[in-house]
Amino acid sequence: MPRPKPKAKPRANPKPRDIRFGHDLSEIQNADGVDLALIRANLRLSVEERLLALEAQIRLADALDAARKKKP
Amino acid sequence: MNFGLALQALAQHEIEFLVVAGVAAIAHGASTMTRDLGILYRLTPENVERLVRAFQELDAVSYGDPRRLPFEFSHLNNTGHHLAETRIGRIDALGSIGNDGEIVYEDVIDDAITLEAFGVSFRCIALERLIAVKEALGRPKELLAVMELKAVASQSDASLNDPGTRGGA
Repeated sequence: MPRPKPKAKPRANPKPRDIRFGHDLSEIQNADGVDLALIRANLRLSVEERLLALEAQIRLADALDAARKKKP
Repeated sequence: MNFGLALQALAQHEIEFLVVAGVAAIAHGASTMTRDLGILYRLTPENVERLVRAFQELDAVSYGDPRRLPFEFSHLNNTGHHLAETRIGRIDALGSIGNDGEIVYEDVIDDAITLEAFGVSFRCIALERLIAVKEALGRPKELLAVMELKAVASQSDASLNDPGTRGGA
């Protein structure tokens, strides 16, 4: 006769899950909706890389702005 | 904006300053957007003179001023906010921060962290201090940033405040 499986103990403080659209958003966002995955990606960069990424963002914004101004 | 050249110019002129505002948030790991380098500088006559010289070298003029006047000692020797348009981008030189300009360089330098980038070592406002300043400002924009900065703090125990990791470099 097979042994009955032991019942899983409930975790002391289970992480609240936020299931929407079939995804567990609690894995990538905190309760305020801040994108933790993006922050973790930023933290893997050096400070210099973070500032270079910001410069690239500024150049993109400037280029889009210039293109918009050129439109008749 | 060229953050490397801006930081190098400030360092070459031996200006006593620390990075604050949006760039400080990004240096700590936030993903906000800003177009300028915000610095809080020490208000001593010698340091203000050094900042004037650095601004001269960078062709700095007051942002949005059609007269395009250069900065002089009297413009910078106070606790005001001086938004400078330079040939390498915008530098916001702040004599103080906080709601009523109540926080000056000496109030925040002791717990500031030291960062390295572009071959320059510079000071940056501590994450907890940045959160406190933005919370006190209380504007919706600042409170949005606070939410992200608190998330950064929760994720970054092993990052900037630990000099042994990449984030500290």
